[in-house]
Formats: sequence, C-alpha cells, structure tokens
Amino acid sequence: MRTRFDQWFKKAITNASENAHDIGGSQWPQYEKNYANPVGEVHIWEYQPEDPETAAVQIVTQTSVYDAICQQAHDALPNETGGFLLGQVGRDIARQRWHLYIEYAEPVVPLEADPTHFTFTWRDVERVRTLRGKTGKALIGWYHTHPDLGVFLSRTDVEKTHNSLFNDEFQIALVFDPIRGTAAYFCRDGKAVKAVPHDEFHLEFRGDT
Amino acid sequence: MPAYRLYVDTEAGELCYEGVQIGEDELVGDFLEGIIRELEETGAAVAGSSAGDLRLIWNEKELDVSATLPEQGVAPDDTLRILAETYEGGGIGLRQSLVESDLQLLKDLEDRNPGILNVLSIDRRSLEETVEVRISGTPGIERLESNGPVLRNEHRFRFVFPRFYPEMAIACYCLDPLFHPNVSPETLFFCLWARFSALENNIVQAICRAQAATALRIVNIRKQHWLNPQAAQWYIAQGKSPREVAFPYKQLVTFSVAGDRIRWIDPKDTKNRLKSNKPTRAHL
Repeated sequence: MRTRFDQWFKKAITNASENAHDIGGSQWPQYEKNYANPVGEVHIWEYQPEDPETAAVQIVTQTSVYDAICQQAHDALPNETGGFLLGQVGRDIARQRWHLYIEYAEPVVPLEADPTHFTFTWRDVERVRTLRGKTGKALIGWYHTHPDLGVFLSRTDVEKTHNSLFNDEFQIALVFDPIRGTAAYFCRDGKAVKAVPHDEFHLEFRGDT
Repeated sequence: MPAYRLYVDTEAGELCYEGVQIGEDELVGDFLEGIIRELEETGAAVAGSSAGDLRLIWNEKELDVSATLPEQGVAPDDTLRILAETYEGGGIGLRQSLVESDLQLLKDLEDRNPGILNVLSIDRRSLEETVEVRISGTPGIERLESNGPVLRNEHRFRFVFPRFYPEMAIACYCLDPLFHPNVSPETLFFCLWARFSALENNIVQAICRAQAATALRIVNIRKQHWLNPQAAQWYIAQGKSPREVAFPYKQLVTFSVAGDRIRWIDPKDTKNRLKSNKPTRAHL
C-alpha cells in the first residue's frame, strides 16, 4: 500500500533543492542511496500562531502514519472515521516552540459512522491512554476524515471532541479529506483551536501497488 | 482512607492527580459530582461535559455510580479516569458549520442587548437560511419630506446566508423603508460590505454594520455603492462631517465584562468592530 503523498514529497524535495541551489546552498541528493543508518521519510508542517503568547508548533510526521490514515480512510468510505496521533513532544523553551514528532496513528472503532459524522466512546480513549502509558509515548492529538467536505474543524469537532479531550497547549487535530486528497493540521492559537486551516497539503490514497 | 490515581480532562489539559482520597463507603456518583465541583472551584474546570455525561472509568470498565469503589473491585492506588460516554466528529460542511457558529453568535448578541436587538425569526428550511431581527433605539430616515427627514427608531432587517456562503457575503434587506444611500428603494437591499471575508466577518458584524449604517454613522458614498442616488445626493449635500450627519444611538454591545477581563462575542473581530465604530464616509 502506498499513498500519493510520496509524489508530493518528491515534488517538495525538488522544490527545496531548487531553492537551495538558488541561494547557493548544497542540493538535496536526488539519487537513492543505501543508507547504513535507518532513514525514514517525514513530512514537516509548521504553524506560527497569531497570538504572541502562544508557542509556535513544528510537526514532524512519519509518512508511514499517513499511509495508515489513508488506508483507514479509504476502507471507511463513504463514512467518516478517525483516531489518535501518538509520538513524542518536545518543548523548546528558548524559542517558545513545540516540537511534535508523530510516530503512530491509532484508529478508533467508531460506534456510529456516516458520511458526515462519526462517534467513538470512552473505550477508545481508555485504550489509547493505556497504550500511551505502556509505550511511553505522548498523545499528540487526533485525526479524522471529512469525505468530500473539505478540510476544517466543525463546531462538532471542536466542542464534542477537541475541547473535551485535547486541551493541552500542544495538542493538535489533523483533518483529512480522502476524496479531495487534502489535509491540514489545526493548532491552538490563543485560547481556541483554529477552525480554518492556515495551510493545506496534498495527501491522497493511491491504493495497493 | 484509600487513595487512587485520577486522570481528568480539564480546560487546561489532561491532568493526573496522585493520592486522591475516596472513602470506602462513598458512592461513585457522589464522588464524581464532588470532584467535578472541587476541580471547578480550584480553576481546573472539567472538560468533556459538552460531549455527554461524565463517567468514572476503571480498568476498561464504566463504574456503577450507585456503588462504592471496593464493591466494584477497585483497589487502592488503581488508576481511574473521568471520561464522557461518547465523543463526536462531524464535517457538516464549512458553510453549515459557519452558519451554526453565526447563529450562536446571534444568540449571544441578543442576550447582551435586551431591548435593543430582538431576533424575530430564524428560518432554516430553504437552501438560504434567513434571520429577521428588530433593532430599536436607533434613529434612521424613514423618508424624506419637503421639511426634512422623517425619522424612525425601530427597524426590522432580514439577513440571508446565501447558498454560496462563505464565498458570498451575508445579504441584508430592510423590512421597513429606509432612506439611505446604500439601500435600494425598490428591493430594500442594504449594501453592507465593500469587501467580505467570512473568516473575518460574520452575523455580529453584519448586524452592527446595519445598525451603524442606519444611523448614518457609516455610509459608503462611492458611486458604485449608491443604491438610492437621491439619498446619496441628500447625504452629500449636507456638507457636514460624517459625525455631524450621524444620529446618536446606543451601540450594540459586543462584549461582556467578567471581573477585570473583557470577553468579546467574537474575539477575532475586535479590531474590525472597533474600526466600524468610527464614523467615516467610505468605510463600508
């Protein structure tokens, strides 16, 4: 199973290397190399809040997480689905910045799901928080899909889940539209989470290859 | 007294309390009620109640509120969590989501302005939701007579969320005649916006603008915004500054004060609202 995210990723690398070339820097190696060290592909997303007292956020996501989310979203179509994001959280006090490293997507088992709505229960929350305790990972946030509805946080998303379970300053939401192939992260800015994306990225299921 | 570890979601994040003492004969329901109140008193308001009734969870089981912890096999030092029954996600669509949000803002605005703003009706049956309101205590020109303008203090407006909202702006129609450069005498369409972004503008601003424009505090005298040329010419002919032409009125309150803090109905719009309170000829 692969996603079209890798195409997006390669395009981003090309752009980055072109930019690096323009400013006289070294180019990102374009060729495949047999690294002796394990090297994973990641996607980096950053948010600079408007509120001066809110810390900036840098999210580093292993692309394997997107693979898992894309597969789950595709399997659930036409309905919505979701889950939790687990990984590591770092706090850069000097630069007032959160560093989130997302390593796992832990799906929920929806109690109900339809194309515009899904619910999960305390059992999913209990399970992921127990998992968090066992693995020593942090619960970074949650993700869910909006099939063909676009990428944003609805009032239901904010009131019924985000503000109930994810009130830590660093906790984020990822919304993914598997039909339109777009996704975005949502972070706190001031006291509230931003409901409209400041930046979307391409994330599309390509099916088994 | 036996003590337990308690995890609870609060408005400040998920917190872990060690050594929470719970009496052996204390019913789970009583404890739950008590601890929620206690946390709120200490400023750590429990989150999750908007998602549903809160439960006490232990070892992947929901505890019976009418029994004690020992009766249900919970041992001292065990981990307990306060969680809601269910949580929800729902992409009802950006348009619907924004309309829902605007209708909540409308309710907040009405609550803060008794006697000035009355919501007369909300109609959600068609593709375009409509809201009808009455604004009182705001002079506006009903008609112009030979001896001068005839004023009226109460005005009814219809606000329409267009089908393609938020790409298109909230539309406003007067339900009573209003002699105003930006109101069409035929359709009573009220041109409120020179530019519109649903991310920055909402129903609160639409109503505040309608009120300010009615009282001639804000008038767009650019020709392309003239919907009533006669009213526009009359307004320009006054030859006074906008402040002098405008009628005094009690502005809608868009905030509340709690202690030493101000809470805006919609915080992100503070700047724009403050701007719109300054009279200017071409601000709309």
